[in-house]
Amino acid sequence: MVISAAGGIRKGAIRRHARGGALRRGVSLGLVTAVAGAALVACGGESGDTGGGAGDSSKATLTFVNAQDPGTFDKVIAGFNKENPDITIKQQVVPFDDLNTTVQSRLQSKDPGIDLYDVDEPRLASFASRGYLVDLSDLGEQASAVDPTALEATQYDGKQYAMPRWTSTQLLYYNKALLKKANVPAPSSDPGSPMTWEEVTAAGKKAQAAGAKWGLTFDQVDRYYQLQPLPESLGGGPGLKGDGLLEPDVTNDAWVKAMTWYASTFESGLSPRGIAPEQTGPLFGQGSTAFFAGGPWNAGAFDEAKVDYGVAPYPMFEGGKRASSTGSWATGVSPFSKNQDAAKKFIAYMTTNPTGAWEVESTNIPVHEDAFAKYLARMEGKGGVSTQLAEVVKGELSTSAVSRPTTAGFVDFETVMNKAFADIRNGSDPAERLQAASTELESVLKKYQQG
Amino acid sequence: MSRLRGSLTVVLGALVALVFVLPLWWTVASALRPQAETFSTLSPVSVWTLIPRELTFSNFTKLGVGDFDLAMLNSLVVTVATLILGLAICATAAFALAVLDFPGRTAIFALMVVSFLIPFDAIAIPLTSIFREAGLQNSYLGLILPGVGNGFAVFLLRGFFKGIPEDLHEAARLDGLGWWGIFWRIYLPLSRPALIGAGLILFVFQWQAYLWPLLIAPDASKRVAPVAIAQFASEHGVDFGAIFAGAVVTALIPLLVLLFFQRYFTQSVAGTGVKG
Amino acid sequence: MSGSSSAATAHPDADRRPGGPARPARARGGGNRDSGPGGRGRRPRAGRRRYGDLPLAITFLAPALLAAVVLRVWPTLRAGWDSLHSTPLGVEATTWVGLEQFRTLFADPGFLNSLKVTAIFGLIVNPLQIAAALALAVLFNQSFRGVGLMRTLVILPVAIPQSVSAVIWAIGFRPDGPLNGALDLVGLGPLRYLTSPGQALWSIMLVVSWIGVGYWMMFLVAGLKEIDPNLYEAAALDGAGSWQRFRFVTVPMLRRQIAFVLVADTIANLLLFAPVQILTKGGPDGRTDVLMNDIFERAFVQGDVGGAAAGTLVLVAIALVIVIIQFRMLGRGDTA
Repeated sequence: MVISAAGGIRKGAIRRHARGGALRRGVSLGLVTAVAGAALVACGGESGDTGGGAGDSSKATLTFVNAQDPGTFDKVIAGFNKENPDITIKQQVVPFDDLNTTVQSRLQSKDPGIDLYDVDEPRLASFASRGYLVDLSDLGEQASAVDPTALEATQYDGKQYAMPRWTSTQLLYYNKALLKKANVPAPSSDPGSPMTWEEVTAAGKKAQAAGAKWGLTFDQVDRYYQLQPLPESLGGGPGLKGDGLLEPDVTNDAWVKAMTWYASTFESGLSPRGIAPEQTGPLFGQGSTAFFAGGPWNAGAFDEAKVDYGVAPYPMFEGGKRASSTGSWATGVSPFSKNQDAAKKFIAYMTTNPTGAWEVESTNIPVHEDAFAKYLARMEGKGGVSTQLAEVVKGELSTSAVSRPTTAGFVDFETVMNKAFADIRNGSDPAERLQAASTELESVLKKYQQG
Repeated sequence: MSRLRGSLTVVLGALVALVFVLPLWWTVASALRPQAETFSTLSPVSVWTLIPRELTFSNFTKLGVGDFDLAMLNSLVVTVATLILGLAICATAAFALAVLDFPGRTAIFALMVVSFLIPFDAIAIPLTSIFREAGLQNSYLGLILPGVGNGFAVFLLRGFFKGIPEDLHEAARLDGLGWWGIFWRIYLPLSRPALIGAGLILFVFQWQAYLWPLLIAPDASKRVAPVAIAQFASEHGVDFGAIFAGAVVTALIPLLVLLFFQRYFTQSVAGTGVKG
Repeated sequence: MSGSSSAATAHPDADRRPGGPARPARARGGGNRDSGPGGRGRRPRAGRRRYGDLPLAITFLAPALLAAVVLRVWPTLRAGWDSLHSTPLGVEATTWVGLEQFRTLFADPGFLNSLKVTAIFGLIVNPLQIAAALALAVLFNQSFRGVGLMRTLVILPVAIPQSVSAVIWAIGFRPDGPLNGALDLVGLGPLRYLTSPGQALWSIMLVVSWIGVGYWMMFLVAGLKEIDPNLYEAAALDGAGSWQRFRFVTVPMLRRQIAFVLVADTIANLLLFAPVQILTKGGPDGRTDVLMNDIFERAFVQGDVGGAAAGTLVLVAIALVIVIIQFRMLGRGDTA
C-alpha cells in the first residue's frame, strides 16, 4: 500500500517534474526501508554548500540577507566585483514582512551563515544593544558625502553600527478629478506651504459629498512610521522620553489630540476601516480616494494605474509644526560572520563610493549626496508631476523630517503602539487606549532599564 | 421519494462545494486579470467580481521571473520525500504500538502523543541551532526531517491498526508469516484509508511549511513555494496578481492528487467485516 | 511490491469474515520472504507475552521515536531550561531566574487575556468544526454524480498557503468587499468583521473553518466507507429512520474516527496562529489574541526567549490536560 500510494504520486508528479533521479530510483526499489534509505541518500547528496567559509578577507563568499526586490543589488554587486573579483556575494532574499523576524531569530542562535544584512533603521539600537551588529565607526568616518541625518540615525551609543543606504519621506497625493468635481482647489505643491490636517479633513469630506468614495487614506495604516508625525506636529514628541528613551510618553495632550483626530477620520467615514496597508495604494490608484498620505515610491503604481494625481507637501496640524516620517534601510555586519572585513569592504563600496551608491536600483531616496543629486535630476527630467514630486521630496527632507526614536526598546515600543493605533482606528477611545498602551509600555520597557 | 431525495442531495452537495470554492474561484479569476480590475470589481458585487473581463496571463509569466518553478520543485521534492519517509516511519511505529507486545508500550505511546502537542513553530529557534550544528542548513534533508515523525499520523494509524482483529495475524503467524510479513501483507493492504489520511497529515504539514523553511533554508536554491509567493509582497506594494497566480499553481498539484485518490474512497473497503 | 499490490487488488473479493482463511492463505502463497528466521513465527504467542516483542518493537519504533525525541521533545526540554533563565537583551550571559518568567507571565494582563481568548475560541470553534465536518462527511459519503470532485473542492482550501488564504479573506472582509456586497444583495447591513471587537473572533473562526473543515471531513469520510452497509439495511428493516440510523449506526461505528478528529482538531486549533498573525495581530482590543500568537510575538518579534519558552510550556501543559480529559471521556479501549 505504501508503495502503491507513493507510486501514484510518483507517476502524477515526480516523474514529470523531478530533475534528479535518485528519488525515483528509491521508490522503485520496493521495500519501505530501502525507500527511506534511498530518499535520505538522495536528499543528503543534494544538500550542497552550507555558507560560512574561511576567514581570509581577500577570498570570501559573503551572504547578504535582505528583503528588496529581485535585481536591486545586481548592478552594485557587479560593480564591486570589478574591483574585488575574489569576493563573491550571495544574496538571501527574504519576504519583506519576515526580514526582521528571521534575521533576529538567526542571530539569536548565533548563525554564522549571515555575513551582512539589511537593518531597518529604527531597529538598529535594539540590534546593537543585543550585540547583533559590528561597530562600523571607521566606515562612518569616511562617509563625508553621506547625509548626516541618516548617519546619525544609524548610530547608537556614539558608534556607527550600520551604514545608511536610503531615506524616505512622506507626501500628500491628491486625485485631481475628484477635487475638481467637488470644487476644491488643488493643494499647493510649494514645499513651503503645506495644508493642515484640518483642511484635508474638510476638503476630503467635500470630495466625498461630490462622489468620492473615501476622503483620505494613509498608506501604512496603523503603523508607527506613518503616524509618528501626527503627535510630533502638535509637539507631543515621539512617545518616549527619559534616559535612553525608555519611558512611555504617549498620554500627553498632543498625543491624545492627534489620535482623537486619527480616530475621527474613521469614525466619520472619511477613511475606510478594515483596509490592510497593502491595499490602500490600489484604492487611490483606482480613483476611490481624494487624498492619500504616502511615500514617493507610490508614484510608480499610480502612474501605471493612470490616475490623474498631484503631490503636495505633507500636512501639519493647525498651529503645530511641520513633521513627516523619514528613515529607511541601512546595512550592517553580523558579529558571527567569519568574513567581516570583506563584508565591510562591500558595504563601504555600496554606501560611501559615489559610483556604488548610485548602482543600487531602487525607488527609495539615496542618502549619498551624489546619488541623491542624480535621483532628483532624473525625476525632474521626467517633467510634469515627477518634477513636482522632486521639489516636494527635497523640501520635506530638508525641513520636516522627524526620525524615529533611537532606543534599545524600539521593537517593543512599536509593537505595542501599532496595536494601539489599530484599536483606535477600530473605535477604542483614544485617551483610554493610549493610557492602556502607556501601562503596557512601562512593563515591557522595564527590562531595558536594569542594564 | 428516493429519487427526490437523491436530487436534493446533489443540489445540497453542489451548494456546499460552491460555498467552499467561491473564494478560490475568485482567486483564479484574479490571477487571470490585471490587478486594477481585481479591486475595481469588488463592489458592487456583480458577475464581473467572479469573471475576468480582461483576460491576461501576465501574472503567471511573472512567476517565472521570481524563480517560482524552482520553489515549486523544491516544495514537491520535500513533500514527496516526507510522504515516503514519514509514512514508513509512522506506519511501522503505529504497528508496533498497536500490535506488538512489549514493556513500556504505554509510555512510548504517551511520548508520541506529547510530541504532537508541542507547537512546532515555538521550538523552531532552538531546533535551528541543532540543525545547523548537524550541517543541515540549506539542505533538503533539513527541510524534510521535521515533517517525517508526525505524532498525529502515528496516532491515526495506531487507532486503525488496533481495529484489525488479532485472529488475523494469529492465523498468519501459525502459517509461518513473520511480523514484517504481517505488517506488510496484512496490515498495510487493509489500511488504505488510514494511510491516505496519514499521508494527508504529512502532506499538509510540509505543503504549508513557512516559518521553518525561512529559518533553516533561506538560500534561493532551497526556497519553497509558500515563501516564494510571500516574496511578491515587497516593501512598497504587493503584487496581488502574482500572489494569486502562485496560489493557483500551488493548489493545482494537490487538486490533481486529491482527485486521483478519490478513487480509493469510492472504491469502498466497507463490508470487509475486518472492522468487527 | 508485486506481493503487496496483488494483495491490495485481490482483497475486495476476498472472504470478509474475521479471521477467515483466505487472507493468510494468500499471504502464504505470496512467499515467505518477509518472515523471520526459522521457527520464530511459529512460536506460540502465549509464551512470548511476558518478554514481549521488544527487539522487534525497537526496530519498528526507533525511527519515529528518534524523530519525536530529537525534533520535538528535546527542544521542548530545552525550552523548559530556557524558561528558568532570563536573557532580556539577547546574546549576553543568561541568568538563572527560577520561576520568575512564569510569575511574570501570570501577572501579565496580555497573557491572561490570551488564555481567555484561547478558551473561548476553542470552546466555540471545535464543536462547530467537528459537527460541520461530520455533516459534510455524511453528505459527501453518498454516491452521486460529481461527488468526488465536490469532495475535493471542499478539501482544497487546506492546500493553499495560509498567507494567501489570509490575503483572500482580508479582501473579502473589506468594508466594501464581496462579503458585505453579498449581504447587501439580500438586504442586510454591512458587518465590520475583523475591525469590530465583537465580530473579529467569529471572522477568524470562519477563515480557519474554511481552511480546516474539509480536511477533517476527509478523515470521517474514510471512516464512513468502512461501515458495513448491511448494518444500515438491518436498521432500516427494524424501522429506524435516517436520524436514528445516523445516531445508532453511523456515530457508534465512526467512534474511532470521531475520536481522532476531536483530539487532532482541538490540538490544531489550540496551536493555531498564522491567520491571526496575518489578519489581526491579536486585535482589536486583544479579542483575537490566541495563546500561540502571544507566544509567537514573544519569540519572534520581541526576541524574549525565556518568556516565549515559559509560554510554550504553559501551552503544552494545557494541551496535555485537554488530551488526557478527552482520552478519559472517550474510554480507554478505543483510543488510548
